[in-house]
Amino acid sequence: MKANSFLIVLVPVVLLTAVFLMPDAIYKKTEKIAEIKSEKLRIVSLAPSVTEMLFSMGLGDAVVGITDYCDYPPQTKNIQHVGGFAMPNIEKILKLHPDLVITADDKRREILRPLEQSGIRILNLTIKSFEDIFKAFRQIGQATNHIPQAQTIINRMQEDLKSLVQKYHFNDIPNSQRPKVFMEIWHDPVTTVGRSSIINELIQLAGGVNVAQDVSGMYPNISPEKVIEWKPDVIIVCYMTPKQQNKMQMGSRIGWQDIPAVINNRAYSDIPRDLILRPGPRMVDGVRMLAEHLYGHQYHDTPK
Amino acid sequence: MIPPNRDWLLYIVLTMTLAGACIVALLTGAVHIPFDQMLQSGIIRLRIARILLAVLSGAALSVAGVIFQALLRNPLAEPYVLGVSSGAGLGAVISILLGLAFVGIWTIPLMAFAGAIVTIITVYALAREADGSVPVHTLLLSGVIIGAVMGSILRFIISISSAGDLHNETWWLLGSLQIFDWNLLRAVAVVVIACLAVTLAFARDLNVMTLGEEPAVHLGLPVERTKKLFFIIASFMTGATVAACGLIGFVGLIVPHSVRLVVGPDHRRLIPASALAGAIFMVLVDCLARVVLSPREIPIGVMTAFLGGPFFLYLLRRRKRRYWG
Repeated sequence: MKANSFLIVLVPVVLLTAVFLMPDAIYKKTEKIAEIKSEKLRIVSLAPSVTEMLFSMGLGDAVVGITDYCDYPPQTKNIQHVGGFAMPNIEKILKLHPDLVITADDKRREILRPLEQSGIRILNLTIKSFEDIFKAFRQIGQATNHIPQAQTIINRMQEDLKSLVQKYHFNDIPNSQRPKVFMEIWHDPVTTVGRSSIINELIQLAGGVNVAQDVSGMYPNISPEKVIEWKPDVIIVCYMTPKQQNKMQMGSRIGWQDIPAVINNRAYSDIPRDLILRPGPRMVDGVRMLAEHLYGHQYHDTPK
Repeated sequence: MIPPNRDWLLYIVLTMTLAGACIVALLTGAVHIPFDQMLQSGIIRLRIARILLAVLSGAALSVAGVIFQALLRNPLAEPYVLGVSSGAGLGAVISILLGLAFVGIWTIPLMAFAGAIVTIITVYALAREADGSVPVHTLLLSGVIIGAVMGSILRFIISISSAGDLHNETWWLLGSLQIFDWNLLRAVAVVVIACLAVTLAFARDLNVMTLGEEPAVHLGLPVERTKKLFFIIASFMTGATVAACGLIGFVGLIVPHSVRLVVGPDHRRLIPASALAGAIFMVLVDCLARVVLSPREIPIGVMTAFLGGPFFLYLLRRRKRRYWG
């Protein structure tokens, strides 16, 4: 039938043409949105650590969009959410007319491309060490013209770290005699922090030694036998989901009774997880709390 | 093929292989222990618990696979085909997402087992006809559908989970034989051993079932009662295993077929042989999982697929060559 074969050719051609022409039509529309410029700086943060950094630099008023997981400081309660962990809602971000969108360790640049095409600046921070945290502050400072505020925070953090060394004198103690720390991130399977994790550095800055520091990767799952062999002096329980960690009885685990940390009752689960697991300005508080657990009791027992 | 009245030889060989596998597993691991410190070491206690769990889960999954293959008369049947794994996984993932910890370390296994029970009841209720009978093809369909629904809810929960929850959920689902509580091990042991015993007692009935439902009825078998009994037993064993170990695939599919190639289709031999063979397989695979990337552990579900597949292909080819020359 002539009509049928005509349709069989026409319909795909029309569809394909539409598919090829459509993107251009849409982009023309979004360019118009970008022309609306605001006088005050508008920033969208796509990571809880970034949100904390912005607020600590005094840029809290400029933050117009945050993720569902940005819960600190308390002022974040009134800020609009633009999505969760998996997918930031691009439409919501566009509606907020931001000047700058900041992400942390996000390799998925393609998702943010519509934002770039609308003229929004994207700043991606890579935070894998404490030095990276300082660098991130400087980058935010440059992007938002808040360089002195950034330097203030950096100085304060470095001062706090120095004062810990002065208080507990652990730089005088050789590595082999520093307390061995096992940090448990999850129990099923047993997961800890490896060589490439910033938390490894956090333990070192607190004057401890991470028993898993030679294991490659960031959060390797390791054999519980190995933990027994490592004989950690202190166990820190710090789950990404905090409610389960208080019920973890390290001493009742099969074979773990011989671990020094269990024998001396030095398993702690009271450090708020965001101070350890969130690479931001409060990590220094995490270092301080850990150092208190590692050295505090000695400090109180033996007056210097 | 083993001649019928030499069964005892088969069982002795398998049992000794199992004992040997356990000894190997006891002596290997992420940590090397000098011989004299062996008995006092907490590590040995940990390994013993782990080996016992491997034996139980390997036996449970293999026999569950045998039962489902007989009940559903389908060579592709395996313990997870009727949705129990999706239900258990959903229970565990909900527990992680909500941060539940009401019974400490037992919370996730308990929630997983609850998920398995809910699935069993739902699948059964859906497949049940007005007269109380459960046709096999309806059971299969019902199981697949409920499994798919549970699986989609599971994936939805994963999609709304934070980075931390996502990490924990993924690793739980990948399967692990780590065990820290003797009581949990005892609970799994009670369920698995009881189910295995009942299965062995009624093994002859499974033979009759494989002939088909109508011939089975004519041979005097109470078909409906048998189907329900085996469905519950196999699902319970699978549920208990998934609750304690996460999702360990391949074992329930590969071991029954491999063992059947050697001992034949008589379930009175297939059941105990599969239980022993499954235990051996699981113990050895777990051994490798602990050693290959030490001190890291490879998820056991990954290892079973990695090793089970090629091994089964090898068996299949050997069998074919014998027939076709």
